[in-house]
Amino acid sequence: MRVVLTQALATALWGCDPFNATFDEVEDAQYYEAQELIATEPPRGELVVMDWNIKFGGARIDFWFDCHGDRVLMDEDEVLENMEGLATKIRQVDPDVLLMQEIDIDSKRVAYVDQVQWLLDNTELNYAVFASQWRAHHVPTDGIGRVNMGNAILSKYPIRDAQRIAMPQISTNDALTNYFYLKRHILTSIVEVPEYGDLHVLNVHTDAFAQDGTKELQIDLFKDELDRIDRAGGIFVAGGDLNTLPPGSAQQNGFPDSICESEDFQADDFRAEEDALSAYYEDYTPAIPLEDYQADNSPYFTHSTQGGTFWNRKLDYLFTNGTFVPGSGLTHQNASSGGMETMPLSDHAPITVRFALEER
Amino acid sequence: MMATRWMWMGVVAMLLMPALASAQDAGSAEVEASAEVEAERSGGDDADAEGRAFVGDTALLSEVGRWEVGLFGPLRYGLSEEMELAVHPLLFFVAPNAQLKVGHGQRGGWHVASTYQLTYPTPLLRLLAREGIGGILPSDRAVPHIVSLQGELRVTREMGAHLLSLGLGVQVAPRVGESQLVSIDLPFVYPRTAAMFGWATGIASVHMQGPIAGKLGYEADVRAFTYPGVDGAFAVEQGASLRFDASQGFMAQLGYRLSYAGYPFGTMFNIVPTLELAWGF
Repeated sequence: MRVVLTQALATALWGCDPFNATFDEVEDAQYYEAQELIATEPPRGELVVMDWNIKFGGARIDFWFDCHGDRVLMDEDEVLENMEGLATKIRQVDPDVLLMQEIDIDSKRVAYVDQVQWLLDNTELNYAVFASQWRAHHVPTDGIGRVNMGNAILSKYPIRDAQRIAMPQISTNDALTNYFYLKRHILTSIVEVPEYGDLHVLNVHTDAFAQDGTKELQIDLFKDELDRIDRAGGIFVAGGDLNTLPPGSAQQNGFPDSICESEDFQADDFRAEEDALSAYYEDYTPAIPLEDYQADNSPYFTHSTQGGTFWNRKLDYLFTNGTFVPGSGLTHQNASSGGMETMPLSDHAPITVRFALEER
Repeated sequence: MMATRWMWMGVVAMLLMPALASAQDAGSAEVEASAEVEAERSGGDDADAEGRAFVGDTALLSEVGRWEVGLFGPLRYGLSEEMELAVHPLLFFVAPNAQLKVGHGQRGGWHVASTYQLTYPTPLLRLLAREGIGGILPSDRAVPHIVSLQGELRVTREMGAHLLSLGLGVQVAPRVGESQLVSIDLPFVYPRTAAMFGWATGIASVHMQGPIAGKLGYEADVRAFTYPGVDGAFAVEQGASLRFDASQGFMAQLGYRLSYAGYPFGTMFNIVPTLELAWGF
């Protein structure tokens, strides 16, 4: 009875969305352009594609949600210093297309720095689209306040038809919690590659803390969207932070940096989802071949929750139904694997691959 | 379940903030009974002291010995012909506060009064700085001792049965001790707490009220804030409501309040419904 009353009250109170926290099933994404566009040559046979979860420019600060610390907010100097680190790595890689997760555009915790615009203005990238994953005028928990975090696709070339496709939320949360909670989605777009044509680029960040099968459902929905484009004859590059391990991962739980005791923040036991990505590997081409990964997991790890613990699990992926240049997939773990240290920059390592622009 | 309860409390607190903030303005949501207007119209300071109920944002004072309390508004007491005392009971135990309104008689057809409000919001801010659900402020930032002082000059003129009031005031909020205070970037709250981050907030207001038909009346106001040197720098609020003066012992009011304000992230427009019930005895 109490739950019914709670949900009825939530519906009545939030019918008009007073905290601007809800989304339609399908919405147009938000478009960005660099303040000064940089003239780019048509690509010569391939595109460099990069994927990176940048932890909202929080670098290795121990935030409250990791259970390693209690930080909630950064000041502007901290944010800009951390963003400069991210931009240095991006400039070093010089990607043509960049998929990003956990990027903030209007959040108190990053001193309201619009990180999409900032990266466009401080790298060689010209265009971007953004879709919110967590948006509210004020989140009444842990002093978070105003937040607008999401996924973005940045590109040297123009982007069009960008949409935010909603995915289901965790079903075990009550209505009020879900109102303020993260709202996962697929960010889909078309990059207009000169002298090549349309390239579908899709970005996703699935649930980390779902215990009810929601993450697996989101992973399947993302695959459905890729299948739909594939059946229609489109060529895609897709990826993001799928928050699950590849099939055949040697370690699936008990990671040394997983110290959260709260049931709400258990994200690192993957034993029940060993085959979650099998269909991706069967149907499409990964940036990192599965056989390479299964032969030795560690060179491809992309995540650790604390700076003192080296990368110890792979959560980040790029796939295509076109062609990746064989052997071009790289996990930028440190100076010897990618050319510079990435551990201090985010709790995820970036991955890159070269996409072959074959004639169609 | 506990977490959900804290979440609800946080949300309700945020939803009530406009009303609480409005109440701190000492009665923009309150009205004056038509009997009081009649008494005013009959003229003179003597008439001011008779038949007056629910005196709000005007320069007029409550009757001597009269108590009034609002659902969200302050508890008022007519201390003397020239002084009225008010405290906000909902906030008093977490943000001790008091307001004194002093009447200065009439000048050229205008009733003149000044108000002086003192608030110690530190306990409330420290209560809101908590980990987990219900945390409006981060728990890792030190909240200093803050004393908010607000002074305002108000004048009121009768225009038939209607009352036009003008106000001009300033708020300062000196801090003592280490401060890592974080702003609450919400409409109605941010302008009223901006002085805690700068040196002063200037406040100007225009307020109008009067009868419509029988016991039904109206109230409308515009209030402007400026907080130079603080992110955002300004806020403009406009409210209007219908009020029902059942008697000198009870009043009900229903309306809306608009806000257009500058914040650290830019400007934002908001509208919220308002409700007030007040009792007098």
